[in-house]
Amino acid sequence: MFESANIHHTMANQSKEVLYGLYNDEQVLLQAVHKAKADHLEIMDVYSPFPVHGLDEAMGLSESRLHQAGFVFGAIGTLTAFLFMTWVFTRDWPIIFGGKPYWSIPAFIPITFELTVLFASIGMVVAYYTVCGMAPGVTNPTLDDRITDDKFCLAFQTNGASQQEIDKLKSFLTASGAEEINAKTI
Amino acid sequence: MSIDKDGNTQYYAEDAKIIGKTDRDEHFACVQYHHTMGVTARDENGKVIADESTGKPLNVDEKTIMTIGAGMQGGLTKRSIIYQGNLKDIEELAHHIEEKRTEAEELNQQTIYPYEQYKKDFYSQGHHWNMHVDLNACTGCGACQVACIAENNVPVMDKKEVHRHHEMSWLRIDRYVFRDYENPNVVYQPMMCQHCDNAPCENVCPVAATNHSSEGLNQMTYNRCIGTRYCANNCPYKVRRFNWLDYNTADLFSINENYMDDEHMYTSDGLPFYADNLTRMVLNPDVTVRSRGVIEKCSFCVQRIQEGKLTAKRESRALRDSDVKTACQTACPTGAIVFGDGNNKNSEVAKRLGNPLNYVVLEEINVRSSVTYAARVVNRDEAFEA
Repeated sequence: MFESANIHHTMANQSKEVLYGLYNDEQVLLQAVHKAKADHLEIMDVYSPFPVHGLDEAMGLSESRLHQAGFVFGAIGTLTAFLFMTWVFTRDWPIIFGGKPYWSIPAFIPITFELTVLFASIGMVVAYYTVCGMAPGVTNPTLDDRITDDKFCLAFQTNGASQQEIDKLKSFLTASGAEEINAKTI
Repeated sequence: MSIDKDGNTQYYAEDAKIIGKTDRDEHFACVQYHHTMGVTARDENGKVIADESTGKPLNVDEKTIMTIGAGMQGGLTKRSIIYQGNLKDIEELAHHIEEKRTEAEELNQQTIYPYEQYKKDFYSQGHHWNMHVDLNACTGCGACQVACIAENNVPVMDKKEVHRHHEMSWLRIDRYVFRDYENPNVVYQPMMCQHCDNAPCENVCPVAATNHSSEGLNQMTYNRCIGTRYCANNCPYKVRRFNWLDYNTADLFSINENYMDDEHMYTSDGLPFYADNLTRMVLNPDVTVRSRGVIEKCSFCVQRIQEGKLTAKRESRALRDSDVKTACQTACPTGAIVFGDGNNKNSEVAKRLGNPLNYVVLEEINVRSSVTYAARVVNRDEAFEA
């Protein structure tokens, strides 16, 4: 489940035909993924009940760009706070406070910092949920209930694939040590 | 109040008598010292400090009295709170004050907002209200305090409330006693909101309930105040007062508050004292009655300032010095308190600002207060002194 941040999940509403194999051991799964990559098979996704070290590199997943989004959200927060306070205290409602000029930058720092953190944190949460296709009320179908428990799953998408290709995938799954091979439409 | 046999009203209790031991702890309540009374003075090593001649252990207040520079209220550090001297040493005193003020000015220059430029930008136009208090003239009678309480609807606190630091007076008379604790000398210092141009209280208010007017007044917006008391904590002069309870029945909260144990403080209808319509007529209608949970403080009698400005406007003339007088100023029997427009070079207060004995309380912390004090000078015979 942890490795499911795949863009295919969120695309379109059309149903997906999936061929997947269940593994008992994460090391076997990891070798299967390496082998699939070497054989140039297109993996739809890999499911695991817990994070498997090295799996993301094996799958060729790129580093998350969430922190870049976080920086952008933070920068928006900084600008929002600073420009708003500048407008309020110089144009809209200038008030004299404690012998400071109207536009006193040191006094703006705490609120600027707070809004930076607020925008960055909330923005990153929203961005993460959006990218992962997660939201309250959204149900993501699971291929097999046991992949949240003790099974590891390697899944291929087979929409429009010929019988020959499906047989090739099945034989690959068998050869790589899958305990069980199923097809499912989600 | 009782009438004596000659028909004169007696303003003291005639029936007071000493009744001997009661086995009760009675608390002593007075604004400055009530928590230090009877506390034994100790030095840094924890050793009891005793009188040199008699060997009697001193309490902290007696020790405080011995040297004015080491007092309890502000004297713990070498800060400019009280200056006093003998007439024959007046040159020396003036020189000392000048030295201290120069030193403070040097410290105050270390700021990112230079004050001279700031004052030119913000306060060179219009009025800038200033007050001058002559400590020579002040006799510590407290008339200013009473006048302030009457003028500004300040609640009068009883002993119980004062003992837990709930005194509400906007203007207090600080007293600084020194030298011989058996026969001390004293300087009285009326202390009210200093209306600092660099007010530390304003910086810390999270809701902008206190800010500066363009005329140099540090003003309170009571209905914006949420009662964090940051301002009172940050005030170096400790002149801000918090309404712990609804003392003036401003919101009729008091109906839910049994803060007054004295049944005389309730009317026959069971309402709190101030809820009675007749009693409420003592309140000054020009001044807001503060409700529970807000900070209040001296406003430089802003209602009188506004009235004076409106009078001048109605008569189409410039504001005269005599148009605006604060309540404490009018009440002072010796004319120690002078209030006026510091920007008007002909005003009484502007003339007094040239006095070489003038000093500003806590000048070295760069709050730029609008109140100046003239140092106390006594003319005491040396033979009498000894």
